[in-house]
Amino acid sequence: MSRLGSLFWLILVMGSGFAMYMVKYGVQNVEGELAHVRRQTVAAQLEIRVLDAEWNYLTQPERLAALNQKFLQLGPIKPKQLETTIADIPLRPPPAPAPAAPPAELVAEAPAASGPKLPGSGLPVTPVALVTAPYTAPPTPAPMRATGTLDQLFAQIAGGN
Amino acid sequence: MLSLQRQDENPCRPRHFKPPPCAPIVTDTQAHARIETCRTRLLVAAALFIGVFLVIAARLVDVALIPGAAAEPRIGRVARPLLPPPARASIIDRNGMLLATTLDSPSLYADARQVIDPNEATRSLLTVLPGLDPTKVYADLTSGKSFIWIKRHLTPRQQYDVNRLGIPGLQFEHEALRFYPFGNLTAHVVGYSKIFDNRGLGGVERSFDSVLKERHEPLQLSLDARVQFVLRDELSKVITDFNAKGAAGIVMDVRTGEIIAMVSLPDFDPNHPMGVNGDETPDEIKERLFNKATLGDYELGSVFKIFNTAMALDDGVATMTSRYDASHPIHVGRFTITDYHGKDRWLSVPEIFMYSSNIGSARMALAAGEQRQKAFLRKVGLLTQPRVQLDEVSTPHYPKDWRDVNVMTIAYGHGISVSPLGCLTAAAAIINGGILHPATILKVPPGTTPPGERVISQKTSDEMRKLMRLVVEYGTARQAAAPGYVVGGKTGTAEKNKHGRYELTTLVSTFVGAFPMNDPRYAVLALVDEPHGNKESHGYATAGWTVVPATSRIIERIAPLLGVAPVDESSPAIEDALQVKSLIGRRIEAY
Repeated sequence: MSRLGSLFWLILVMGSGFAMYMVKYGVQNVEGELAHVRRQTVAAQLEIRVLDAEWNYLTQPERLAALNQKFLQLGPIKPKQLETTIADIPLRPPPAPAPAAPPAELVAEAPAASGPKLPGSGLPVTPVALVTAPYTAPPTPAPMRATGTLDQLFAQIAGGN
Repeated sequence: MLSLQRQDENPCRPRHFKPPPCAPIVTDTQAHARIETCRTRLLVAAALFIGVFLVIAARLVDVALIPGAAAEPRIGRVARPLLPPPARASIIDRNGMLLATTLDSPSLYADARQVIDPNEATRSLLTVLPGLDPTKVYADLTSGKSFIWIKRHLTPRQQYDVNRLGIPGLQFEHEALRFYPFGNLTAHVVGYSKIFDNRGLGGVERSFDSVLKERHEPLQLSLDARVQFVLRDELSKVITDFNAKGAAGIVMDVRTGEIIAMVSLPDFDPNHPMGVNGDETPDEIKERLFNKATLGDYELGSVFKIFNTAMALDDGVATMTSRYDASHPIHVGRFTITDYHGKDRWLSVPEIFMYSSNIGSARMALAAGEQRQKAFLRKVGLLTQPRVQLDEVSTPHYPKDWRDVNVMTIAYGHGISVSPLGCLTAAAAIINGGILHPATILKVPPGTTPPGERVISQKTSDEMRKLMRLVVEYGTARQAAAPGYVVGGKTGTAEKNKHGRYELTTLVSTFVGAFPMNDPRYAVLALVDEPHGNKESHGYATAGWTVVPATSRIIERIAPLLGVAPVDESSPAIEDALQVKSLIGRRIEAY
């Protein structure tokens, strides 16, 4: 019994010693990593300072004005352009009552060119001319309210042109 | 034998110590008593140990399991500032654009003893740093010195390029560099500094020197870099168009006294305050470093009629319908006061202001008297150094003994010289409803109004707004009309006093304006030093032809930036607020 007890304690001591050893080296590794990350952070922060300065240097009004002259030729805003404000633009009227025929059918019929004709005119009604249908936003090729990065936005703008 | 017996008597003896067979038999009572003592001792010892272990266990739980309970600092969790703050805080404008910042920039030096092939090293260095002088670099690399600068303050890209060359013996030393991304744009306000001893030498860099040294967060100014650019751009055009010596301009928020823009031309690049190539004479450098807007003091001429008229109206000396005789020049001693746009008749107060009549103003000032004039000018801060957080501010110059002739000339801005900043601060108080706010270069938190001091009544201020609007509608500043922004103001063209004589050809043309006049938000001062007339201005170099059109363009460009929406100037509400009732139906003469 007493030998079994001693063995138990011996194993426990060795086990805890090993665990201690592992934890110690684990901590050392983590600390090394922390120091590394810290150095990286400092380097990144220094870089941010420089980039911030560079950004301000590149966006100084004088340079922007020169670039504007070269590429855009935008002029100062004239008071006339500001006569109407957002508040002056009427809100979109509430949607008209639902059309008698579901729009899906109209769309399906339209390519046949023998679709429903407007009363009094011989023009076939194309899906675009669904005057009675409630307004739907035109499908945008690239969603501009993207949550992506500036680079993606630039890529979109470049792609759009 | 004795020892054996003793051992046997000890009840706590180790088990393997068997009592010798001949040991005397111990009686029960004796043994019992000894065992009891022994147990007690054991219990005490055990209790002690348990107590100690409990304390250790409790402490373990405390340290390991209960977060935050330990009193000592938890080193692992404290977010230490990783990057040491820069030696000097940044300066930003009201929108957060960097006006000055401190960068940790690498400088390249060589340990000439370690350079193996100086010839090759020089050649490859010049491919990445083309600005270097090859002979000097070669001489440095062969000098045998252990430390010699090759180039100070490289950009990160240049550092990368040099590193990529892999030349042995070239090393970098990090040095702080004070960098002004906008260059000349805010030169006089932000100022410049010497980074080697971390000392500000001009503008905000100088007046906030100790603050910038200790601060970690950027210092936010009231300046708006965009407005600053517009002001500088338009004033530069005036200088070129009229071949002028210099110019100064200020845009101020009349409600808070914040300086939104302040320009003095010619200016300098704070990155190289002493010039780049050294081809400028010390006088030229001095001229560039001089802030005309705060340190310059000028006789501002008719602009002073703003203060003269406000004084007469506020003190009850005159009313909007009072009339003064402007039919003949006034002769005082060897002086003769004449009108530039003479009408040769009696003029009412609005007419005196609109036609900028010197004779009428002088008579108005005489009616008020020396005491009132002095007291009023002191009240609006025109006799003392204007309060602003800059060191380069001049004190006004005015005559020591204030005689009648001085009263008359000061009425139209001669014989007293003030800085443009002092003039605009006072004018802002006249325009904004009568509250004088000291000019400030620091951003006032939006929505708060700094304390001010009432200098004139709201009624006088309303009347002054009408008069200033009149000048733009019908008077000398018709070219300032920036339609939609309801501009009002007053022009002033003064001859410069050189060696005690006024010279007709050297002028200082000034315009002080504000917009929108029905509810003033911003005041603008534009001053041009020694303009010369050109073909477009028909040879005139007066304010109406020089700074007034420029101010119109400035206001048109900055109003949208400052969030001032254009209005219909002929709407009844604005006409009602700004019309001078006594002039309705009267013929307004051209001149």
